[in-house]
This record gives sequence, C-alpha cells and structure tokens, in this order.
Amino acid sequence: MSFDISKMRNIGISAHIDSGKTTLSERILFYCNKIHTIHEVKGKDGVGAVMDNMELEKERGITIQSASTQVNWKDHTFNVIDTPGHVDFTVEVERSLRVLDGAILVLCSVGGVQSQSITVDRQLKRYHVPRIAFVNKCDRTGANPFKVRMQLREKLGLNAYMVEIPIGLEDKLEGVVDLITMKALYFEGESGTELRVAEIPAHLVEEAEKYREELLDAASMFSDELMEAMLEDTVTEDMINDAIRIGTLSEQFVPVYLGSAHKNKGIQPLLDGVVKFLPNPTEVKNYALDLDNNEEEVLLSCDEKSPTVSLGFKLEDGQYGQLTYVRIFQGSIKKGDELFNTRARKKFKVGRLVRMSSNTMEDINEGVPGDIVALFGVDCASGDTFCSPSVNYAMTSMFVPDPVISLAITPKDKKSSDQMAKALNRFTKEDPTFQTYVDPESNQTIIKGMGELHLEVYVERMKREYKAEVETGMPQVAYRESITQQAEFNYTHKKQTGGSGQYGRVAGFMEPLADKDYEFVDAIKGGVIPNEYIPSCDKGFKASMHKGSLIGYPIVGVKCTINDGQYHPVDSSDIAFQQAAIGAFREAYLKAKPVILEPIMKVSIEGPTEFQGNIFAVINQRRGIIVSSTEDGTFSRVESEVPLSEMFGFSTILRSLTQGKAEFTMEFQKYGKVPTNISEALVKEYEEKRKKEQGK
Amino acid sequence: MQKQDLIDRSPVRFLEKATNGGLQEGEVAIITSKKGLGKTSVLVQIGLDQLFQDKNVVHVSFNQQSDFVMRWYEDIFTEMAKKKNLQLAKDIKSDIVKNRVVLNFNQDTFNISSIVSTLKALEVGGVKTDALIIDGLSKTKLNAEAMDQFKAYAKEAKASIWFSQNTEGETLETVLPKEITSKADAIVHLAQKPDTIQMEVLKVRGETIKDSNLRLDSKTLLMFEK
Repeated sequence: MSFDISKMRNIGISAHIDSGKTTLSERILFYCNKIHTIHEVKGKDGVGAVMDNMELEKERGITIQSASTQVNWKDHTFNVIDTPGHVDFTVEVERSLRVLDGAILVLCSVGGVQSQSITVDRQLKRYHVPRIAFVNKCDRTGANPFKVRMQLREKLGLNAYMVEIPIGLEDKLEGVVDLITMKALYFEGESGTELRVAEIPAHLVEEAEKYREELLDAASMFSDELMEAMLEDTVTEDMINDAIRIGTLSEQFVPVYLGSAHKNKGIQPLLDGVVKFLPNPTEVKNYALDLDNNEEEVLLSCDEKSPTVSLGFKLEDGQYGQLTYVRIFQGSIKKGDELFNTRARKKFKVGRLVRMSSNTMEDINEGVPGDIVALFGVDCASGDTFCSPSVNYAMTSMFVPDPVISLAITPKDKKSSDQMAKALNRFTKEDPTFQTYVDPESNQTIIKGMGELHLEVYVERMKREYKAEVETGMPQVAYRESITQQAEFNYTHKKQTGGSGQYGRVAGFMEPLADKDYEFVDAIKGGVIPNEYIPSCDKGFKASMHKGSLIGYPIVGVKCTINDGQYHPVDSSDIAFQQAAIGAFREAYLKAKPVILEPIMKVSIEGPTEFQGNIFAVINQRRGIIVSSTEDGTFSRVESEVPLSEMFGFSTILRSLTQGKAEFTMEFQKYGKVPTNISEALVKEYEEKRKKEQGK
Repeated sequence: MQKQDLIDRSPVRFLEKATNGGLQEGEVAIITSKKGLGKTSVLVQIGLDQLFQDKNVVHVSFNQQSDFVMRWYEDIFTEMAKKKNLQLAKDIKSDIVKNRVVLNFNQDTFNISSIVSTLKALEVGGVKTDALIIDGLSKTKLNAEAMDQFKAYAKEAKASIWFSQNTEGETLETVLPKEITSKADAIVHLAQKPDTIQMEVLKVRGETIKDSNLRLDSKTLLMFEK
C-alpha cells in the first residue's frame, strides 16, 4: 500500500469539561462515515459515545482514557486522539499531547474561556501544538462566539481570528458564513450531512466584509504575496489559506470556527480546516534522546527508510487482550519486525498489528511513519519507546509530578484480593502518576495519585473491570518534613560486641536548603575521616531523610556538611560510619527546628458573581488564601491557594453552596508550612499511633 | 523585627510626611499623571507598606491579568528589600502576600457598585479590606456620584482608598474636574521634570501644598526625598 503521509493528520480534541468535546468527537466520526447513529454522551438510550469506551466515563460524562481512532475525511486520514478533560488526569493529557501534531481547541460559546481551557491551552503551548479553535454550542441561550474570540485573545493571548461568522445564534442558528470563500453554508438533511452553499444573506454582508477584512489583515502578516494581492485586489482563496496555514503552523495564528456539534452545524468546515491548517506528520519536528550519547537530542525524520522510533503512549486491556497504542515517529513497523524496548532493555517481535477505529479493529501488515497503530500482546509500560535494534533512543521523557494524596485499600475477600493485585499492576503501568506500595507497618496496600477524583476513578475501575471489591480508608495527604535553621552535630558511634567492634565519629552541621531535596558536602580536611568512608556518611544521611521523626513522612530540603570526625584503624567500617551519620542526623534534626510541610493546591473556582461571597467564605474556612478574583460581566473566577488536606469532599460542598452553578479545578502548586496548631495535632496523632503499635 | 525595619524605612514614610500624616481611615486619595510616569509603582509601594503593617490590601485592576499586578508587587518588593539589605526577604514576602487580594474587572461591563459588592462579599467571606487600591480606573466611570460611593464605602468599612487617573493637566484646577477634586481628601500629582519625576501634593484635606521634596527614582521607581 503506498501511502501519502502529507494526507495524514494526527489531531487531538482539547477542551474544558462540558464544552461538548465528546459530542464533537462523535460527530467527527459520524461525518467521516465510521459510525451510523449519533448518541449523546450521557445517552438517554444508554449507548453512549463511541470514543468513551469505558463504562465509567460514560457514567460520569467525562473522558478519562485517550483512545486513538482512525477516520477518513475526503481523501485525508485522521487519527483522532481523545484527550482527557479533567486536570486530575494531567499526565494522560500530556502523554497524548506528545503524539498529536495539531489540536482542535473546543470552547463553549456561553462559558467561553474557563479555567480548564487555560490549563489545556498552557499544555498545548508547552508541547508546541498548533491549534484551531471551535466555538461549540452556538445554539445555546447566551451564545456569543465573538466574545469567546476576544477571550481567546485576552485570556490566552492567542492571535485568534474568525474564519466564519454565524448565521443566526441561539435557537436561530442556521449556518455559518465562510469568510474565506464568502459563501453561506447551511447544514441540511437529517443529521446536517447535506451541505448547501448559498449566497450570504443580505443582512450579514456588511458584517462578513468587516470580519473578512480583519482576517485578511491578520493573515497577510504571514504572506507577502497576500499583502500585495490585497493592494491590487487580486486575492484568491489559496492565498488566504496558505497564509493562515503558515501562521497556524508557527503557532502565531489561530483560526476560529464555530457551530454546534449537538445540532450538527459547522462540523464539515471544521474538518476541512483540519486538512487546510493543521500539520501533517512531516511538518512537525520531533526529537528523541540518544541514550548512547548522553541523552543528546536527535531530530527524527518522518521517513520510512530510517530506523524505527516509536512511542507506546497508551495501554488498553480490553475485550481483545492487551493492546499497546503506538505512534511511529520514524521508520515503519511491519508484522514480524524485531523491536527494542529501550526502557526495559528487551527485544520483542511484532505479532499482530491492528488499526483501531474506536470499538472496531482491522488487521494491517504495516504501520507507516507518522501513523498511530496498535500492537497486540507486548509486555511494556505506558510511555516506553520502541526502536529498531540498531538505535537506542528514548522519546523525550515526560515530566511526572509526585503524587500528593494516598489512600489505603483493603480487598473485601480472597477473590477480590487477587483481582486487585492484577488491576494495580495494570494501572501503574498505564499511569505513571498512579503508584502503589504496601505499608510495612500496617501491612495495608496504599495507592497514591494526583487527587481525590484520580484515586476514586481507579477504585471504581477495579470494581467494574476487575470485579475487585475494596474498602477504602480516609485519604491521606502526602506531608513532608523539613528544617528551618542550622544545627550542629557531633556524634560518635561505638559498639563493642566481641570480635571487631564498630567505631566512627561524624561532626558538622545541617542547614535548610531551598529548591532541592538533599545535598551532601564533604569538608573533611586532613583525612580525619578516610575517603573510603565519606560515601558511607552520605548514605547514612540519605537513609535518615526517608522518615522524619515528627510524623514519619519524608524529609526534604536539607544540606548536610561534615567537617570533622574520627576513625579507628580496626573498628571503623562502612556500616559504622553509616550508623554514625544516622545518629548525627537524629541529634541535629530536632535542634534544627523541624516543621511539617503540606501540599498546597492552586484552586480556581468559577461561577456566577452572585455566589462570590459564598466562594470567598468557603476558601477562607479551609485555611485558603484568596489570591485574586476576576469578574467579567456576571461570571467571576476566583484563584486561591488551599491546603490539599482541606479539599476533601470539596466538590459536594461547592455544589450545594452555589446550586451547582460553580465549578473548580485544582492543581498541585507547592509545599507550604503547616500552621502550629495543626502541626501539633499531627505530631500528637503520630505519637499515639506509634504507642498503639508498640503496645500490640 | 525586620518587618519593622521595612516599615520604618519604607518610601511611603516620605509620602506621609508630605501629606500631613498620610491617608487615614475613611479617606479617599487620587494620584494623577500622564501615562507612563509611575502611578502604578506608587500605588504598589503604598499597598506593600500597608501589607508590612499586617493590613489587608485589595488591589483592583482592569487588565484581566492578575499575574501582571502580582509581578509589580514582586518587583517593587525586591527593590525595597534590596535597598534595605533585608535577610529572609523571601519569608516576609510569602507572609505578606497572604493579606493581599487582587480583583480584576472588565472595564466595559463593571460599575463602581460591582466593586463595592465584591468587597462586601469578601468581608462576608472573612476578608476585611483595610486599604483599597484601584489602578487604571477609566475616566468615563469617574464622576461625582462614583466619588460619593467611594467615600461612603471608605467610611463604612473604615478603609482608605487610593486610585489613579491619567490626566494631561498639571495643576489642581486642570488635573480633574472640580466635582471630583473637591471630594478627594488628597491629590498627588507626578510631573515630569527635565532630570527627574517630581511628586507634587496638590491638595491635602482642603489645604494646598506648594512645594514638596518628593521625587520618584527613575530607575527603581521608588519614592525618595530630595
């Protein structure tokens, strides 16, 4: 099969929850003739959208896992990568951003640019993803695509211009005027599939001229040809399209489309926009890290003959067995090829190779560069790089934040226990921010993640997909301990138990360290501690950092300097100096005025201005700081910083305070000092727990 | 102790001296000048000074970008801390910004009563406003009635209010219409002089003050006494 890579688009649909992303995804599949009936996300008929292929997502109306679906639009092929909408699943969003080349940024015509749109846009910017905007829900009361366009400019700083204007709005939305062709487009037939091109209605001609002029002025910045043609009045459609394409690809321009996915209006022009303005895989620069050469960046070429480099970005354990979704960045993948997993340092043979179109699947023999395919039965983790054995590359390692919340889970019976283990094994491979371990003290299984909802979703999935019934404990915040002042130590470890003894003396000081977890400084002069035992001291300090003596959480931000000590020619040993360092650390720690740190979340709440008082109050009651409040008409957005420990059950409380009209997003921001009264309570609680355990 | 040092040597002390003790509870003051002479900087210095004194400051702006305002506070604080060679500046900074709230309004859709109702909502939520700073208020929104609303709020909440106005005028008679200047408790004007920016106190509680030695450093934008 010969394949024209320039006719391929890997696109994502990025949006705020409830801006109609899933509906739009489904409409896109529909217009590409892949599915035959249209269902609603929270379907009355219980069928649900095809992209949301997990039960739970259907129930909550949100999309959690990124599925890649291939569709054909006219003579082009799209891989549509559905990205999760909730910020709790940020790592999944970011992972999907790595594999897509362009995005449709969906916005609600009423809600406009909301806090999540800002997060999503920031992510797109970070990964340099060119985008086109789609203002959805133009059939809703209060729809105002022009306002949303202004918000794109003001709040997101995007150089956004309308390429369409609406014909009617709210329940009178009939179609759109294409400002490039200067034609009116109507979407007729049962599902809007019949596109009728007509002249612009007389009452809109003036407005259309005005917005076209704006568009051309902006687009001409990217094309001298267009600028000259404008002066001579010889502008052609191609010139405009080329100029917009240049601007969009360089992320300096964002064309704004509009319509209503729900009412089947405006989808076809949007799909044409994907073809016209978003890049094909050869137009995107992708880099890999050469593991044989100090992780030097290597530019990949989207070329079939080069060695294969591909990224496994999603695992799925579905009805067909284990599937790994793979984006091929360079070279190709053929059935029977041998590939090398550069993380696991393991070779494997490509067995079955398939292409997924949502819940259907077709067997293929070869995946070409730029394409997204799925492999069967490969043992790997999400985020692994697969290469030809001749190269040793890793796709850029993605930033993985530390989990901030943990939860103890206990299986209800033996069967659940086995299933739980299976599920956890799967989930931790899928999602690097989801971690699990067994607490050696309580012997309980602990799961850790990025937020309450994040963990909740996994507990639900255990139940549904693995039939593992578990009981959950109270969510626990991942506290840290740290010191606030310098303290000296001078500790001698001495032990005489027959045979050779242990001896080591370590002296120096510890001090607070900003922006780093730990540092060790060797200032020993004259060999009072021999060189061979210096690493032992480092090791001893490091070991002490694992568990602070205040409440048993890890210690961060400590710099240990050793400047004196003593050794014994016979009795000193590696272990003796480790023990001495541990003793020294213990001695100095309490003198260094240790404090407890807690995760502080950046909480952004959005809702009608009438509820502002309630919102301010709820932040204040939760030890939060109101950072700012932005009011725009009847809507306001409050930015605040609130300790994570105060955020449990927040969604329910916010809902009841604001009649369900406000919503919030939460992201980890920093670690902050716990106030004294709470810190004292935590220490007391920890001591009691320890006493109880010792009493057992 | 170090905070006290910041208070003692804050540039706002000079302003206080020049304005017969500075702004009191319930008073409203205006800072005027042409664009780009440093009004925001002066307002931020006043805001920071209040924060040092553990007062709650609400800073209102109209550019839809709270980050922008926060950066002003960061920069001016860094300047002030640098001059005083302050240790542990970082701690103090994170300590004081706790008491600051930035409010943002859309210039087109807001009115004075929406500011007041947001301030009242803050109070309901447990944040009392001691000092209100309004930067960039459009001329079209400022009239006698708005002044009355500000004054009423300042009296009721026992707060002081500073706001800025762009103007081409240079004297008390020309900076702003009389209906506004007559209702303000103090008016401070920034005037571009050949080698410096001079701060002229045009009015303090009914008195007019001829000369002041107040200047704005053209590099740091901090106030100082010549």
